[in-house]
Amino acid sequence: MTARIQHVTSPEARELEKKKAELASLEARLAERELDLATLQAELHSFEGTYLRMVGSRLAELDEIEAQIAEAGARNKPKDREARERASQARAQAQDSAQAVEAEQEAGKREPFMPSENLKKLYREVAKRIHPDLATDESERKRRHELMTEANRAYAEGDAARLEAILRDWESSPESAKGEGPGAELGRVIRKIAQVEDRLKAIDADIARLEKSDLYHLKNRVDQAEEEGRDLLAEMAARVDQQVVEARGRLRSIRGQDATL
Amino acid sequence: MSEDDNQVASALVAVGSKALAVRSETLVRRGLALAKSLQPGDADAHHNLGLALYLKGDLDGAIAEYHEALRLNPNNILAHHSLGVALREKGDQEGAVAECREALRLDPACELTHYWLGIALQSKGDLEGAIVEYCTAIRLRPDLAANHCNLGAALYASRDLDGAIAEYRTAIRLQPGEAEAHLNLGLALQAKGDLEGAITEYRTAIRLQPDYAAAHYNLGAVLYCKDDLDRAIAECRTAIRLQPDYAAAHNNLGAMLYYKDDLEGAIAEYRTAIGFQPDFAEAHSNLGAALRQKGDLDGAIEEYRTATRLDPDRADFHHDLGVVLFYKGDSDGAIAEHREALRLNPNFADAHRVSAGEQGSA
Repeated sequence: MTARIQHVTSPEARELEKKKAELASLEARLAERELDLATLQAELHSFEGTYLRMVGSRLAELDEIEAQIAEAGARNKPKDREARERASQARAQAQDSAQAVEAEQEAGKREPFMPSENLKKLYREVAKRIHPDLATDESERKRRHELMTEANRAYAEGDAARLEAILRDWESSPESAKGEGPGAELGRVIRKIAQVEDRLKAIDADIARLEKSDLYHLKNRVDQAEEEGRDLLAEMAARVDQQVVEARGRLRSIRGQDATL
Repeated sequence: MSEDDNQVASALVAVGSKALAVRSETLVRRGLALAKSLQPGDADAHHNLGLALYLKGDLDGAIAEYHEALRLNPNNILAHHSLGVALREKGDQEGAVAECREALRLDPACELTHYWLGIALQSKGDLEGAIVEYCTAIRLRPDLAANHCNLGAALYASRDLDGAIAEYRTAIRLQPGEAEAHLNLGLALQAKGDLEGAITEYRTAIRLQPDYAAAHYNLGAVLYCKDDLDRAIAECRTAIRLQPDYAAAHNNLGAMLYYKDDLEGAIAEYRTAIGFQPDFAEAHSNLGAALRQKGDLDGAIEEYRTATRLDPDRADFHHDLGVVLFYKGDSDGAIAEHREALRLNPNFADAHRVSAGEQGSA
């Protein structure tokens, strides 16, 4: 029979083990929540592109016609200050709408965001290993931050190869090497736990902010309508088209009045 | 959270942040308000889906959605109106009239529904009914040029040329840039015998819309009436250049070339017109005349027979056929055709004369 030796551990060492277990659990949760946030952002980004192309462009057209109507009205009543003000506001709105739609067109078509399970898994792994809040010094934090931003972009674009490359590079980089002495480690783990908890709170706040946004509510309505067999965006586009036809009629009518003056 | 942490957090949110930029927020907010107004399960949602399908060109799908909207809410005025418009486009004028009338029962003051009811009634040949509806639309919206244009067209069709001219002039006053209103006014003036007035209106239509083939075609026709053959031919050729399959323009160009003694050119244009529109009785008759002039009596008889088959009520077609049959020595056939011409138009002096001569010679 061989004798088993019971190692006597110091209170700091026992506390370190406990905190490491706590940190590991928090890291897993952090990776999951980062995934939730990145997924939500990418879905909204993709939906926004579809919305701007289908409905936003029509609203911009409507705004342009309304601006022309208001300007024609102001020309017909040159002394009417309110008419001039209305025309100026309508023109500003038309310009804002046109810029939003132009920016979308310049950015090119956004593909629907449908992440695979593999992509999600890769992202979770990246978040778990590279997250800036797991850094132990400022320079490491900065590098992690840059890589995480790149990983977020790769995830949003569905680029699994890029996520794999980020992970591979990270694993082979000297910054990922550990080798800490047990004495100073407890303090660093406690600090990491605090950082991760702060980041979790920030993620919750970001997700809550996005879920309160008009874009999120609009997307929800469109998704819900789709489940009911309705194409809500097409219905909205049709309604705006109606308004455009009606506004064009008003504009023609006003221009006709212009010419008889 | 420290400022630094906040920076990290916002950097993580940064991906796609352009998508959430302020400049599109207003458009999104308006979209959300619009989406909220399109509630599922209610008649409006089906009506709007119908409109979306209609705009995509799916008439049957649109009609089905409008029916569903009306099943959910039989008093949905817009659904009755839209269904009427879609049915008219499908060629179901009776259905269109019924739906428009139902919409007007629910909202008698809807100018647009009176407008569409007028169009549906005119499509089914009820000119009187159409005029009543257009007048109501004008009473409700006197400033809308389209209402005056439609009334003008209905009055023109019912041969009230003065009324038509007055309505077209009102439409032009309300909306001076519309080439079609000038063209229609030109047609009414031409029908009244005011050729100079018609020329002015056609030229205005062309100035407003230089690629308006119908305006060039009609200007050519009126210049032909004024014996300005070269200019008439030029306008007709322009109409054909703008719309190469314009059968009526090829027919008119053929007639103009015929009078310029270009028989081969005329025959070619008539054949082109018939190629584009095989049931074009006038072009067959004109081709018959050109072939007769060329000495091809059999060809002429064939074309005249086609013309009389396509339009059996035209006394002049029967008369022309009778003349060629007479030249071919078919006196019985000639007499039969001239008798038919006289039956159709007892005042057809030429037919009387030729018929009497033929009977005498027979």
